Amino acid sequence: MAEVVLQGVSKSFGATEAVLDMDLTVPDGAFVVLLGPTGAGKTTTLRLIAGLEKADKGTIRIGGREVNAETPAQRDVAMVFQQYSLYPHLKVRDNLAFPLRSPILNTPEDEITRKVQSVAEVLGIDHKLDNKATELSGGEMQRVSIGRALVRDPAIYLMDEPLSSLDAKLRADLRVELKRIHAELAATLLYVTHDQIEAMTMATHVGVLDEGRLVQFGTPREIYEEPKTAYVAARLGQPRINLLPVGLLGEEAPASASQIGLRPEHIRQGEGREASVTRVEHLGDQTRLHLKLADHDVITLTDAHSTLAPGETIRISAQNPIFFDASGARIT
Amino acid sequence: MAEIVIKNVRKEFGDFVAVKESSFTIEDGEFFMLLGPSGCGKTTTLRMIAGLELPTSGEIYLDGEEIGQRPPSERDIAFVFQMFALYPHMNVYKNLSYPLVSQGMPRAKVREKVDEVAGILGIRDILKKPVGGLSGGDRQRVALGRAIVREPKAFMMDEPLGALDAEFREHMAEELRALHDRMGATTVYVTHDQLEAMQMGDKIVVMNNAVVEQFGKPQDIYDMPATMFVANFIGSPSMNFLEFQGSYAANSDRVELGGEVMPVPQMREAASGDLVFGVRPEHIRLSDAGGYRGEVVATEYLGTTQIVTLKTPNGDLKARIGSEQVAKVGETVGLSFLGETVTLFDRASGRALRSSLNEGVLGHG
Repeated sequence: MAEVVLQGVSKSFGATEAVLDMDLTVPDGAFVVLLGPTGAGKTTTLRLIAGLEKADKGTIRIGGREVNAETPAQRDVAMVFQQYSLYPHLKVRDNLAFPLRSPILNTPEDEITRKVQSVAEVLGIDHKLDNKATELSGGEMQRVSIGRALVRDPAIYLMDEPLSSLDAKLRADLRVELKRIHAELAATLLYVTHDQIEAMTMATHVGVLDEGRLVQFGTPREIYEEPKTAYVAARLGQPRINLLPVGLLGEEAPASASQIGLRPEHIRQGEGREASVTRVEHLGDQTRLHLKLADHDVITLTDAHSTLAPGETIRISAQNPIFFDASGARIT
Repeated sequence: MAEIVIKNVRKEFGDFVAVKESSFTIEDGEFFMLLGPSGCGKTTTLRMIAGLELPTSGEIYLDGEEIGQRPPSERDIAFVFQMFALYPHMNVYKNLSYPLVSQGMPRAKVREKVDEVAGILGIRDILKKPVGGLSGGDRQRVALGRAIVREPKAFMMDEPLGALDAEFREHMAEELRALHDRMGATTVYVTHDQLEAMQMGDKIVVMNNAVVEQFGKPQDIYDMPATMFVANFIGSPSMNFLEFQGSYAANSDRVELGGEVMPVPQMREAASGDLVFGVRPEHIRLSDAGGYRGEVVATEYLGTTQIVTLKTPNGDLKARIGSEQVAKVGETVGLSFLGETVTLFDRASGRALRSSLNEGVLGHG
């Protein structure tokens, strides 16, 4: 495993600047998740590291070695794509062994058997090794395609939304599994997603991307609790953080503040400004209150068995608000 | 506006039973969810209400009138499909006016009606545009508009948000629900997404394997599931099932789990044998003390809360606790459960056992 460093990397496709002057360090042994909406430059970053795209500018280093001029094979990375592509006519065992049998790696057959067995056990598919790939469920197929990366011992694993085509329950299981695999193998992993739950639950570090730029890099807790911009604050948290004009809740604010950010769980009920309830959503474990406060929509959480109904008025005040200036930058 | 009553409705396709005898009532003005995994019979049920399929047996009442065997055109119900079907060669205005023109409505009246609906949906500024170049959201709005202009008695929607990405989906769900609140039209909505059902629905029918497993208000279904299927399908993470061997009398309010006595709601029926102790993740507390213990195998940070996975003598379990609380992988901790929220199940049948908690809900079937 190795550290991966990007320095001043840019990449354009015609007039579209996909990645802009990016500095990013994936520490050895880290599980880094790049988070951002469609078009933020996540996948391009991954492909630049893999060597599937060539950087216009900047340097990419893997384990201290500059790899800009190297082919994907020379870079020694293993990639997992969103859509699993297995060889349908091969058994699971041979699908897993395939990368090891490539002329470049040329692994001895007993070594292959040992590796395939241990990876299959880690992924919980060892009882399916002699099944054909077509005889597997969607979740099992995705495990095999992750397994095909894991049999190798590359400098870094690159994963592009590997869970997004799976159903919710399976995604939850594989999230826990990937995290465990990362810890067990002490692997370096760079993982791309637009799913904030995946970023928060699995990452040792989250990189938030906005229009090709890396806007913040830190632990999930840092990103959630100490966002540097309003954009970053809105990436994590469900329901999303309330971004409101300063003074709306009568809170004390720094002079340069133009917006406050207030997480739904940071709104105190019972005192403060009057807000009317527009909608009550009972989600089982919690209830979401949709409020109208002087023409602004506000979302907060309340007790699961709240009896509040639309049309009622409650008083709310801000607890631990964070402040942003007119450009969206955090004021501390 | 309409009340819809489904009575003992059954549907067979050859040898295959798509819906077994099902009964429920959709009240006037409700936003009503048909929820279940794929193949459970929810879409077939919706299509029977709309008249796109005819029931093999049973009755469907629309405002007191039996319409089960009538063609769709005699039902006055509008259908919104997952893939919005618009006329690609017509502009937005023509797409919206088409259902009215084909009914023979005078042109001035049509113009007035289209303008009103476009106002409700916020699409007045795109009326002259061809539908080809519209964004996904606008296409969705036009498709809804086409259903609304006719002022039908009820709307049927088959996963109308299924094709959208997560962020936009949430936005459209809110918009759809707000629209319903303004118009108050009875809406029947099919989805496989439990969160969408909880979030949008006034009432939910949960279906599985052609059978209605439970029917009621979202919070009631969450708190008092009638079956293990429902308990597992609703909620994320879903309810924990701790399997145990036990027996208790009809008025007992405790059971023995892994050698520890656990409080439960007062039971209304005796049971013994293979049982299941059902507890929601947010009703579990972690502490240093406590006789019932579990080993932390994983933690997942979620901002204000975290999900902790634990290994217990009765199986794996997920707890939702505050993220400020420390839980370290490998540690063994004491566990306690909020007894008044617990549901016990019979493992073989998957049925919830009656207790003071759920007797009011299970009573109605």
